[in-house]
Amino acid sequence: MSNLGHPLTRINRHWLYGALLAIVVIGLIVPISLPLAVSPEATRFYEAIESAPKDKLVLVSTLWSASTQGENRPQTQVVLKHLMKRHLRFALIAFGDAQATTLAQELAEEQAAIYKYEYGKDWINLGYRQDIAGTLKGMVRNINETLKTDSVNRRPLAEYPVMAGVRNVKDLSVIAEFSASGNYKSWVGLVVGSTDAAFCYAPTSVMAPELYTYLDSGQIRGMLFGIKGAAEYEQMMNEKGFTTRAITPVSLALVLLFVLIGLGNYGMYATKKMEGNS
Amino acid sequence: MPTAATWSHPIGVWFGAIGTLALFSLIYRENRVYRLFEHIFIGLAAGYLIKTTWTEVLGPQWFTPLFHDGQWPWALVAGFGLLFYTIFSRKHSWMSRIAIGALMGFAAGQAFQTTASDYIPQIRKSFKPLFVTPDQIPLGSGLTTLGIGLNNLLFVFIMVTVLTYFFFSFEQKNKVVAASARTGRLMLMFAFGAIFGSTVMARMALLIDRVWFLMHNWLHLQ
Amino acid sequence: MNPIQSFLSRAFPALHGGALAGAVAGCVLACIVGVVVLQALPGKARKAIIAGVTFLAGLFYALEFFLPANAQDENILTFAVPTVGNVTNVLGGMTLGLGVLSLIRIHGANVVKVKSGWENSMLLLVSMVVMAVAGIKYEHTLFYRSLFRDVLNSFDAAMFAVLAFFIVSAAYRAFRIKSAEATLLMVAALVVMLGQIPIGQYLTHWLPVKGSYLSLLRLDNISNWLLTTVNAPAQRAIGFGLGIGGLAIALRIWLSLERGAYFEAKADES
Repeated sequence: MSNLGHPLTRINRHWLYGALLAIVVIGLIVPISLPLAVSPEATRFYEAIESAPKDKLVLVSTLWSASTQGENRPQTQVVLKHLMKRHLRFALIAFGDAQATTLAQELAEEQAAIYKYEYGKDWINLGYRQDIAGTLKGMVRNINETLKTDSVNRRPLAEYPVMAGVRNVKDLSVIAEFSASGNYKSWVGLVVGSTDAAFCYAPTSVMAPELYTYLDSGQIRGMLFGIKGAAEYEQMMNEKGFTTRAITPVSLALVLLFVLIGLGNYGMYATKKMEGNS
Repeated sequence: MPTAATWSHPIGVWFGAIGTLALFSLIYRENRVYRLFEHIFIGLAAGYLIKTTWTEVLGPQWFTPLFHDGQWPWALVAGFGLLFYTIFSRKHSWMSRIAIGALMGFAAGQAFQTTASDYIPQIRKSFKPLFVTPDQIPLGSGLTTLGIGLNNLLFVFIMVTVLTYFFFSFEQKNKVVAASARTGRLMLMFAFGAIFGSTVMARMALLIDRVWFLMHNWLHLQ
Repeated sequence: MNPIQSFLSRAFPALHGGALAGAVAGCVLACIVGVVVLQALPGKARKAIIAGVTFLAGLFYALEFFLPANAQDENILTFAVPTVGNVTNVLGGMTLGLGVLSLIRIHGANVVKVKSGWENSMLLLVSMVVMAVAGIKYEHTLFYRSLFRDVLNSFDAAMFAVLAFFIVSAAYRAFRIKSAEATLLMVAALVVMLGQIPIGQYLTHWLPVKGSYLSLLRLDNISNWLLTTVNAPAQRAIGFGLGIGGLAIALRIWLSLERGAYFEAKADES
């Protein structure tokens, strides 16, 4: 028996999967209403949008697909909502993952219908580009010349009122990037030094820890820490959206994980003890 | 332009939900239904990539400038790009490296600017003041000048120790260097712990999104 | 307009109608001749051409960065940056066909030879064609949009959501606290996560938010302190290493100094 280890080290994986699924379902059905402390970096993201001048364009860049929509979708959604609430002009652009442009378009259309935002006048989709570095280098010099047409009607950008007065990245007030990848390096390396626009970043939780060095250096103004960042942003906007509900199962699942790690370790020590006694 | 309501249809939601359950069946064991939906997924993803590459990249950036605007040198760019496809011919496959080399060259050339713009501000910001004056306290910070000074000292200390750990140019025999590297290794564990915790959080968010789709969009339970 | 720019606009004027057709045909012919000439080259010359193209491509962005700029922050090469960006985008876009052709070759062969699982391969090819045609020809229809949003997105998200189950199982089985390093890793993960979630924050919610030293003991504050004061410098040090390494690799690639099977073989063959 001792060779097989303590029973706590041998829990069948299907029980673990079942427990996780049950916790997620219960957490979604019965959300626990607890306050969430808003982090300084999320506050700075919010304040960058809140203080953006209305005569300048906000660039919303997306690099995520459905594979990370659990985090990036609510982030994008809540910031688009904020932009429209403040009636700021914005342009969408997507890099890296082709799905990003269509997903952002869908979200923008959804919010535009609520806030009566007119395509071409209040917002525009600049489309998807495969090569982020080459495109950003071009945008630093001339956005219209680099991107040429929009993604919806495929018409020259100069024809749209929303692009009036926008020549290059210097004419942007905020650059908000929603990403599942490490492309912040391209923005920081090629764009941030060329503009006064606040660069705010909304990564998945996986990437968030590596960005604190950029927050410290000021190269990134604000950050949304995955789904929790989106929940904080909703709280600052007094909204109760998906993330406000989803943060409960996230919490419960993390508690489950730590309990399981604890059980596994207890099992390990118990096994050692059993082996020592035998 | 279509309205927001035109992004979803009940038949699509049903197909999506059945596919989600089929792909989830992998956690029980690998099976035929999983493989079937896996193949459909790859096919749809490849089809979508073809669509986007044409409508967003090759159409507006190559076809339109060439055939509508008359910028004929784009034909040469296409010819150059076709060198990638020599990879399928044993005899000509070496030519694909010319095109690959060009893409790698462009990326390498950008590295000077990205490295300089990325790291120089960080190097500058690494020289932190150890004696902080009240006007240097960030807005909204609850810390005192002494607290920020100590944090700055710790910041620099950790950075130096971790840099020492990654310094492999000579053997770390000196006791001070070895101790510093050992401390750096321990400090790295804090960073990795933070990454581990946040990775778990990210994965949970993905699962919650799917469960919500099944409960809300498909079964209308919530 | 700088001299290079005016020369290029004179040398490559926009053409229309028959002139455009003639120019395109000339380009096609030039490409065919180019391929024939390249194939006739000896191994050393082939290597030199690959190295030369790589160097010239890198030289553009390097010079554009290093050459002094005028008051408008532009130098003699800046005008070409958007066009070169578009060229890299088009070249990048053209690589897609490599993957698609591979899929068609592998799965087409499965179907034609009726190999095991040929039904799956056929469905893969049908799905690919349906999605591509629907997207290109019927982009604004409900059929395409639902296919993208309800079906493709659901499958994509489900594939990644499965990882949540595996990470729980892996953490339970593999996360054993056997050393000082593992203990620190565990403590950091626990504190950071508890500080990020409402349930964890609730454990210390009774402590003052600000204005007292006790506020430093709130889990959200400890978590934030770990991330900004302990994690950030470690990440910065890792970043410095990566940056130096990345620059060294970039230089080696740019100057074709990289060695290995990929960089040395092939050009000598055939």
